Amino acid sequence: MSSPYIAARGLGKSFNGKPVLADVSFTVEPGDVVGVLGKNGAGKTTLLELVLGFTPATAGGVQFFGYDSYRLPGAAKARIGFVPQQDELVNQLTAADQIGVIASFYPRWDDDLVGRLSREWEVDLNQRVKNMSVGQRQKLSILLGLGHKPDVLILDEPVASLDPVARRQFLEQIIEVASDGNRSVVFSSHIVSDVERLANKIWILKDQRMYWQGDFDSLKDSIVRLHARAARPLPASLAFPNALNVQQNGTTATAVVHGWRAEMQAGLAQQLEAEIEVEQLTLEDIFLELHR
Amino acid sequence: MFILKPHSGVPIYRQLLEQIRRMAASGQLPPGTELPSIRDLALKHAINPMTVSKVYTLLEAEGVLERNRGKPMTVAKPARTQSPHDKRLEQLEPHVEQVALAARQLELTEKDAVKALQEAWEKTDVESVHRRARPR
Amino acid sequence: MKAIARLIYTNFTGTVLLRYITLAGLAAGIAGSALFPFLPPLLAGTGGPSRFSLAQEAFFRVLPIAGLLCFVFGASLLPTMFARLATSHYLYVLPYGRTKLLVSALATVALTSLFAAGIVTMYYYRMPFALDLIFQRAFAVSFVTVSFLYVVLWLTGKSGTIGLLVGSFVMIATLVLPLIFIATPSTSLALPWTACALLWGVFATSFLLAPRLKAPLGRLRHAFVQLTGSTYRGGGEIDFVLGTARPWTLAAGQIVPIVIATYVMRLAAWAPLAWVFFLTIISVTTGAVASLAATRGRALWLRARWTRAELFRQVENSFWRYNCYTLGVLLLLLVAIGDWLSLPTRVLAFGMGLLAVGTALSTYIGLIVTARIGWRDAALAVVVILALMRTAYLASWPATPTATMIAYELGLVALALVVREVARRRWGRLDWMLCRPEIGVRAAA
Repeated sequence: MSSPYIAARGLGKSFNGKPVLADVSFTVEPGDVVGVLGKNGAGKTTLLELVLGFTPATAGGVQFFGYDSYRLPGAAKARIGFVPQQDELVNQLTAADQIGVIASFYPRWDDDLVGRLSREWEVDLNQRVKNMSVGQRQKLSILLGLGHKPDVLILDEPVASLDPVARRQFLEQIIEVASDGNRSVVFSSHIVSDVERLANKIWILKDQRMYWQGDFDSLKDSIVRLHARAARPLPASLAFPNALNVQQNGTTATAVVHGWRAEMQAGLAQQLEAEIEVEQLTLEDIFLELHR
Repeated sequence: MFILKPHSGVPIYRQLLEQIRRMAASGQLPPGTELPSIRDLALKHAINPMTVSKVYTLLEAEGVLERNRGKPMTVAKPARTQSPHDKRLEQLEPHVEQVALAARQLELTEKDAVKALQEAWEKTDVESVHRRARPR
Repeated sequence: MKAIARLIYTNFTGTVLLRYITLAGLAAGIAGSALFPFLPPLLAGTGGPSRFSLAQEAFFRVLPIAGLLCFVFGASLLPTMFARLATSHYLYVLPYGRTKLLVSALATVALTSLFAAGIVTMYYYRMPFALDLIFQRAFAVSFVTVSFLYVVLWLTGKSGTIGLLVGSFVMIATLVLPLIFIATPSTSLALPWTACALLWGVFATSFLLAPRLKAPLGRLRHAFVQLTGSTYRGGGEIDFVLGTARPWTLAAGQIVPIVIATYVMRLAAWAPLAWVFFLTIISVTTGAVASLAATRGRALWLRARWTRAELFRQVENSFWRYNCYTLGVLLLLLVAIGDWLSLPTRVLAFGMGLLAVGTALSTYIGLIVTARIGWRDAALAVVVILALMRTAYLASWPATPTATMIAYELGLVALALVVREVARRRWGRLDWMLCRPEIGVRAAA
């Protein structure tokens, strides 16, 4: 088992005494595609910034390729790609020049890949950045993160301004990156459907803490909606295990629970003297239920 | 080849797993059929390649699929005969129960349910689905 | 190394216009300097026969300096690119990004200074001065000057293209000073070298240490804000949107460079009367903020129930509220400096009028910008600035007859009214699709 690319333990960050992130731990293994979800202000961007070493942690630490992320050496940086939330391009340059400037910092740069993608994604390399639409600029920013074939690609809301066609093209490119098996991707997004397709690990940030951190399939198995149907009216205060949300209506009840395991079904049915049906939720539903 | 719905509640890996199992068991994927590579399948359905890899690995362990060095995964020859009829019926039970339950809740008759099942049977004939989907 | 070279190259050639300016500058500078061995030396009475007519000689003498100016301007993308990259996340993620960016900036300034030094030295060819000393002096002074000028360009460039234009004129106006410094060989080299070392030393250190300094500086700033409360002048929403809510920043910000420049000019024994000239240029900087009013006004259109005509009036008033502060400070400075340099009262009187009309003119020129800046608008801006400079020049000569001065100033007032009318008409039919804000230029205040 190879060592993880990124490992964090008890990571925390406060600004002027106010905590923005507390006690966060995770690993990113080679080949992972991690989707980071969270309401606005939950700390997603801060988390990514801590991982990249933009800002020092006030508690705990995060290791990137074995180095303290705040002190990443230059050679390690050549293996990292980053796409920021707001594009940070130089307006006066043409896209080609912008790419050239960024490319010159890296020891290897795949011109063919960037050329091919710019054609497929319809980014005119001879156009000045200031004349590009927001979507074009975002696509260009993504290209800048891909060209040096990084081992770890970190993206902060990369598709917020892209139309569905562009988004699908982006997804396909991420799949290409992930297919390598030795490259990892970490991206935060509000477009839950994209995360649902791509991620094999999900981090859910809630109230400045890591609410869930792990395998996506396990998440879907763990948070489910139970439908109970009984012959007699169910008691007013039902005891569903680890319930997030319970709704009761005479002989039927619905509850969203977490930490569910298949073997719990029989016991619960007996306890409530009701038929229990397990409904699995989409990622968006899970996210909404968590924030009710 | 497969119909995957990433946004249903069922995890993608399980959808793919069950579909391959079913198709191999029923003979729809005869032994020796080559399955698409992990990368191709992932790209086609826009899903995580690790998911596909997980499914392939699980099925290889079960003996449903065979890994050939340098070549794509193939459907394995069944260990004995294919899974007995009763066993396969057992696998279908939970799904059918759901249909019956839904029909009852909608106050439909048994006839309605059977008719709906027949229509669905037509619709999920995979080859005709592809035929319809191909542009003229 | 690759990155540094690429950055330097992009500094000089990043935009099409700059590329040509750089090349033109190089060509003119080199060609012009190459001719110097064939021209008689500048010192009177020591010249030999020349093959060229007087007019041609004059042209050849000016050509290299013009080329030099072009070359310096050619790299004016440096401050913008540097600032943009320096404040981006890329700098943390690019391998050795910080160091390479810093070195590229230093190298660009050094290249420009070398070119400048070379050209200036040619002027002293075949004259009884030690050429290597001249070269050193020229290099040292150029280094400091060019660094300072790029900072000015950056500050003014933040407010869009008109700001850049204004900054350029400020640059040209102040370039005379270092040339004079070079021309007097008696002053020591210690000053420019110390200034150089100090400037770049502080800058480089703070730049490289920026990631570590961010947290403590942030805390300091937070504490300061807690202590002093809001720094906004009371005012309506319109001031916030237009960027005129904090006049003290520009007003106070003007004081320091003017005071420093005064002191230095006095040292260099430059004609103190030309001071009015410099102040006039400064009064033009409000135009830079005004030029963004149209794009920012878009937000007000939806929120207030004004017609476009009323919007123009409101915007105009907002700017005059703002100008009162900057103009007030300038007038005070003029009187104070004039008193210190013992300028005649006439000059002060005309200077004050000139400052007021300069501010008005620049505000209205800024308000004219209601679409992409065409060559007509740019030409008008240039004409206005030249007219102001001419009037300033006249005002600073005591020999100018009063009547002429009054005529000129009235003429400028008339010009201001005309420009205002143009602005008013344009705002009456503002089409916001034609004046979108530049993505990446941060919003007001």
